[in-house]
Amino acid sequence: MANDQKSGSKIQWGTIIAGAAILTGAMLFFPGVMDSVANLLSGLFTPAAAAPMSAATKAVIGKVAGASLLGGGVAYVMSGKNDSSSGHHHHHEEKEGFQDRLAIDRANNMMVMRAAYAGNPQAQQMLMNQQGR
Amino acid sequence: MAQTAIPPDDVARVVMLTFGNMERGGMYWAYLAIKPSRYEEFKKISATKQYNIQNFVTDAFGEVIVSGEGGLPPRDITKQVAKLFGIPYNQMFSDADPMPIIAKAIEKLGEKKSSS
Repeated sequence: MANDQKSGSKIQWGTIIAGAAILTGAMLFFPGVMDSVANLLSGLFTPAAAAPMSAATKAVIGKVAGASLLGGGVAYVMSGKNDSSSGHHHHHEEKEGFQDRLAIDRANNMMVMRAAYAGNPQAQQMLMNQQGR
Repeated sequence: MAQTAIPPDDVARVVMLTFGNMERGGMYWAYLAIKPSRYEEFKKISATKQYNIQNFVTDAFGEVIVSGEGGLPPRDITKQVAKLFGIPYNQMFSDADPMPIIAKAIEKLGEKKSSS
């Protein structure tokens, strides 16, 4: 049974709540560069590829690393493009960072709304708290 | 113009955020990469309240990108998933049907391949 294979993991997978699969987006890979999507994922998501990350992310990654990630030990990765490019691009990156923050805030709010609608109790509580302010 | 057919499952995935209950209690979230050919099937099966996400990979729906405990992923994780897979922030969590987007992108890819 598939569950038995993960019995030593920290996360024991359960049943998905109805309607709880929310579309995040579509992604495309390029044939010739990667021979399969699975290979790309397993190649990129390795602990060795992980760059410095925030404390909040580290906490989650810590859980994920020891947890039951399916499909070839997929874990987590930062893009790795920023780590050695500090210095003269600093101001430009800060400006982009601000715009990114606004955009990701909007995406995050959208995620909470859709998750709440799909029956996610944490998202519903977050929305109620916002409305109560 | 001769075009090379590119199987969508070879080059694309639909990224979905799922959440559910863990067997020991509490919730988990998981970002999943779903094969385009299995997208509709996964949507249906996840709506039955019966599907166990632990079977996701063995059922060949796709891959688990990243997962964790709790009802929702941390903001940083969502940001990194978007960056890694080139999903524009303003297109995340929309109601848009991903299949035409993938079909269009593959069509462009095929045109590039045949012209090079």
